[in-house]
Amino acid sequence: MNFLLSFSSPKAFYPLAGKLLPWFSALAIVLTAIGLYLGFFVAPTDYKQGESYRIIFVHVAAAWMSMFIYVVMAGWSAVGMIWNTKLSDMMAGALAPTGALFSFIALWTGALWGKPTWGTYWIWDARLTSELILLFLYIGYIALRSAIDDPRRAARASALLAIVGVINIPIIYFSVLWWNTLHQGPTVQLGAQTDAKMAATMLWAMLVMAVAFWMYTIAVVLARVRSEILERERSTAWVAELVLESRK
Amino acid sequence: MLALGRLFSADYQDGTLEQLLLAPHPLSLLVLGKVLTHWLLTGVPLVLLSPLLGMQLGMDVSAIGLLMLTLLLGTPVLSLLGAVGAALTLGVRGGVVLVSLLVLPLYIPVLIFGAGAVEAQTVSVEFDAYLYLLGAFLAVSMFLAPLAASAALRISVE
Repeated sequence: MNFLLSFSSPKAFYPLAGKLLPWFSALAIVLTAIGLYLGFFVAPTDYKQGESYRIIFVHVAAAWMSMFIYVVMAGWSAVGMIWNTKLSDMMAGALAPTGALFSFIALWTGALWGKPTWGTYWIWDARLTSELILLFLYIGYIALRSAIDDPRRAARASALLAIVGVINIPIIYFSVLWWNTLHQGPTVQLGAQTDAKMAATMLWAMLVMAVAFWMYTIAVVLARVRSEILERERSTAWVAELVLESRK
Repeated sequence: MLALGRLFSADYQDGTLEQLLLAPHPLSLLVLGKVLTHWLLTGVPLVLLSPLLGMQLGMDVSAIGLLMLTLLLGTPVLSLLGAVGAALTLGVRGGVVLVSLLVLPLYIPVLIFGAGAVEAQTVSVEFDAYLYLLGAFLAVSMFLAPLAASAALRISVE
């Protein structure tokens, strides 16, 4: 625990993030390539939907990430509120734009899939509406954060908002089970027997894409936190040293 | 909802809010009082006006009764959640727009369940579940929202 805690100071985390960043970026690129190849060329064509179903390889993974990132963001916010650490707030702040991006991608790809399959881009279905709410939660979080100038106050106010908003996540997650509207129920569920419902290559392509999005998220967040650290710690001695070294 | 911005702002500007923060009573209780007045001025008139609007829209008597009940359960939740948003955006630039953006996503579940009850009644399906859920929202938010709002007020004022 002490070893992990020693990275909670921005000064110690900055070089660590720099070391990890290329690995996660490389993994993200490789896995995305594999996932897209599996999804677009290897996976069989759906007998009912034809080729249009292939969007799910992006859509499902993006939707998972959009929900999961919010939970992680609220988790970091809670850590920041409890132990008052600067880094956890930076992590929460860095996660928000990526989460908003993924919920937007999930909505957008869903609309593109919905047109040929359901015959409409948009419908006020439970899952679609709740995903839209999630996007608004992210936008509200980012807006509140950028509206407050004092970073400490911005951190605490936005952390509180993230924690209040997390009550919406179970509603989004279970919306397809609670309301029987147009969006289908989950095909892939933890602990459920999925073999019969979905071809194995499809499932693998989807899982690889999900892991790829994970790696992408981690890489982007690390990069964002690094620049955030530099910006906030710009008046400290170690950043000055860093700048001097890079100029040599 | 448009009145939410003014829930704390006048008190914030003339310093009353700081006195409230310093008061020996628990802040969440004082916040609950403020929320109650907000609800009396915005929620209750809506509840009282709803039969008139319902009659204009040609709803039958039992549907109007249910509409009033859902509004009675739902509007306090809206005021409570709104207080959290209003406290968070206190003294922030663009606060009035921001509070709508923050609070709307939190309002939507309440609105869905409220509308769901009336809709279920018009097609004569069981609507009890919607009312239970609205009641649960009210119970939970009555406890948690004042705590969250007072935490937000302390952040905003310091």
